[in-house]
Amino acid sequence: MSDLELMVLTILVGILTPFAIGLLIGIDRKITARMQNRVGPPVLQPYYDLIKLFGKERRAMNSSQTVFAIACMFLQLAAFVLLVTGGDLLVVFFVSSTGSFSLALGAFSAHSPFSYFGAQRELLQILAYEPIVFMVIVAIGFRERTFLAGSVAHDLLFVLPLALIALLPVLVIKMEKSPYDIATAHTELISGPYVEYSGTYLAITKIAHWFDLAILFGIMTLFFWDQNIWISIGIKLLIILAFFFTAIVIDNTTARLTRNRMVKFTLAFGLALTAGNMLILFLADQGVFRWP
Amino acid sequence: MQVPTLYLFLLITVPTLGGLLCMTRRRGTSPWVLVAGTSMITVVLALGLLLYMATKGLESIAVNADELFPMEWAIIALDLMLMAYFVYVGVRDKSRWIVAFSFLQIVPMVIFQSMVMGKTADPVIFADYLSVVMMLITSLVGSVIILYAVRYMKGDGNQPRFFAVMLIFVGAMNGAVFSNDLLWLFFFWEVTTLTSFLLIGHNKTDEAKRSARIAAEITLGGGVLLLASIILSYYYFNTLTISALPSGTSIVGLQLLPFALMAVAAFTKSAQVPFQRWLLGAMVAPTPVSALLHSATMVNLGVYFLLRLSPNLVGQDIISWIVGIIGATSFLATSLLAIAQSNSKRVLAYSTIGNLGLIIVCVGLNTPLSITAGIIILIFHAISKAILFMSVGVVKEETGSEDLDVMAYLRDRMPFITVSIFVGVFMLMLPPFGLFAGKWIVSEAAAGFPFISILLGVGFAGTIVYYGKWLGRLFETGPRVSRLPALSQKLPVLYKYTIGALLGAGIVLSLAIGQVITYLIDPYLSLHYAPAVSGSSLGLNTEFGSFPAFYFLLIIGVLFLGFGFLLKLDKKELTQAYAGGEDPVFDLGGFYYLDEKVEGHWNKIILALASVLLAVLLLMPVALEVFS
Repeated sequence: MSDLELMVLTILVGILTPFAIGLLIGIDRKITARMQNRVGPPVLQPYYDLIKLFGKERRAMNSSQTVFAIACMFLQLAAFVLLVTGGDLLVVFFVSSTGSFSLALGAFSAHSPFSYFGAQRELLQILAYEPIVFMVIVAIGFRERTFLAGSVAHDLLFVLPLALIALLPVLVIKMEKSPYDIATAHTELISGPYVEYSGTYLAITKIAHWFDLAILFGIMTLFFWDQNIWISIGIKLLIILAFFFTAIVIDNTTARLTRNRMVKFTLAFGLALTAGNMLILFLADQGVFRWP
Repeated sequence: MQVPTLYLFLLITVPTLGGLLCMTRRRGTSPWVLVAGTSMITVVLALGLLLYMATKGLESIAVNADELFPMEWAIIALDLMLMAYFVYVGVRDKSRWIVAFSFLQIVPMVIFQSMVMGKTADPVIFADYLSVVMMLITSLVGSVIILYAVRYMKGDGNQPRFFAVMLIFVGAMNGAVFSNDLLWLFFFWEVTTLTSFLLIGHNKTDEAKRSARIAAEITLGGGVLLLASIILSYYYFNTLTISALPSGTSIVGLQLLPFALMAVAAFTKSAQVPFQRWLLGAMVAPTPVSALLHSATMVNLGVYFLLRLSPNLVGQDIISWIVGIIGATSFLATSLLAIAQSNSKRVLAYSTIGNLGLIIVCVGLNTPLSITAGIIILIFHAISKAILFMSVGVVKEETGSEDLDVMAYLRDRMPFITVSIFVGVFMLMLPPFGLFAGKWIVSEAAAGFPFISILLGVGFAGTIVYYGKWLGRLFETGPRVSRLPALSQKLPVLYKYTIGALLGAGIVLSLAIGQVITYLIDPYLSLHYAPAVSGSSLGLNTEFGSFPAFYFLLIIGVLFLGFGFLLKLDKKELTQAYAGGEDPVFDLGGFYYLDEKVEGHWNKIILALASVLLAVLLLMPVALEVFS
């Protein structure tokens, strides 16, 4: 593939991914509805919602709130652009994490009980999932001897399968799904950190969330690579869809757990898997046994 | 005396003499003219030395003992006086430990001095760029803190003594940094122990006295270890010169013991686990003291000494490993314990221990990449910690409390301080500011050591949580269109300028991170390692990745300056908080994940774990000797 083609492809992926995330959320709502014997909204509903939100009257409590919402969106966007252009994965991770931090600060800046608890729990979620994402990226760097997303060119799927699986609870948390919809907790905290946003500002936080998910999916796609571009894209899509549907099934078959259990389980599960995987890699390198 | 020698000499003596002159003033008066003058001269000297070295292209400055002839005798005499004073203090405060540790220093010291008398360890003074960086931190940040203290200590009854000790602290710190003779280093090391003891106990309350005693006990214990390591290294290597210590794999078996002892001594100074108690107790001191201890002096000495020794330990994988794990354990433990805190100074204290732990991780990894990261963290940690402590001091002065929950609405009440705390925290952990570069580089350097990576990963997340909780309180405010009138009277000018100067310095150095690496860090690295991080105009590149710092600075700048000014809410956009139909008047706060009660329990676990690690570190040379 020539450089030009690659560039066009990069730009296409960059533009299409956020749209695809919207579509995925629409599909999610449809499937969830069917599982609960409802008809459900049209698949394009997330877009309709977004467009409608932009047209709504803007309401907020103060300007810090809005600045932090905008900061969150731009930071997630910057991290996403860096990932798509093959930038440093650790920087992508840290910048995206600053975005999540910014969302929590925005929620804190409103003097509101639901928002306050949402923000506290958002921070706790960060404590639960960030070490896992960090370790998965370290595992990739450990294996590839580079942190540049653009230089990762091996079949990590077969070498680091456990690290990939460790991302499942992270996805559940980031998609705000049961059992770990701790921060947004619709029935309890009325969408937590988002509760004091409306209109355009709420739309901005939604876009930020889409980019956040896009980054996580982007990291997952790094696990497969093939000479043939179409096979590559096909399998990458399959990985995303498999994780996505598993998350939906988990969402519809579990009830929300407590925040302490979220932290304990996610950290123990994720760190054990990634560390175990790296141990296997290390032992294989030492020639103890064969590993693809 | 030649020009560079004069600079080094003056950087040690000017603050010390200024301090001694302060002592001549009567109690109850403010020696501010002397203090300001001495600080200014120190700043000029510090910058002068940097400029001199840069323009002359000097990589290092070495001074032989005969150039500073009387100083050697003076140091021996002062050393003995210092220890005699500690014996007196121990008897006065009824501390068995202080007396014991003083005797354990004084007796071997006298015997050892009589043995090595007349042997010169040339060069006695040696300054390369690592020393210069540390000296700049001490002299510049330290001077700013001392100027801030002029206003802060206005109502204090015994200002001459306070400022005298503060200034001598800076002088002693510079002395320790420039010393190349281990015995000189030991002397200055113990002077910082004394000055920090005096400053922590400055308020003369029971709590202050107790904290000062604990600090003295732990750091004097470290001094005993340092002395032991000096005697051992003379025994094994027949030298007292730091730059002549052997390096690499030529050190075998028991010869590693002096290095292990030096590392443990450094841990006591830098308050690493299990010695963290003294630094947490030290917060009873007036805020400028905390600022000085945490950012410019004391705790930096330990990590500086380790950084200085790291080229000697290249190839000593096992020792380096254990050192790295102790640092990472400190970082993780404090990152989690800090979440449970409700007092801002305690949060900052834990954060200091954590960041120093991070530097020790860098020393443990001991690659060019990690050493670069370590020095970056050292620089930016000093600046941000000073900003944060000084800001908390102002809050304490206005509200009478350091509690996180009291800081709600601070955005309206003290806008300048809110910005300074925000920028200080940002600089301490978030991209694209200074310390972040270090955090990123150390993460890359640690990629080959998954065990350390796990501890770091959880620690980073913990850092986000405890600082998030704090910043959240600052920005909390009810419905309003624009800023409410500030509740407090105008911020004193001196506060504004001192904090502002550090904010400016931090931001400028963040922008020029590439130049900081090229001109301040690489000249040192190139003496022992190959430079590992290259700065381009847009960011930093390493072997493993790249960080386009400039873009992110742009983004952050536009976000918080641009939108902060442009985005004005309309009055009709304003809304009340949603409270489920209840009265929207409520008091938030007190929601902490871990209780402060848990702290004691955890401390026991950490103490046990860290003691085991230390024992392993000290026994490892023996084991290597036996099994090799």
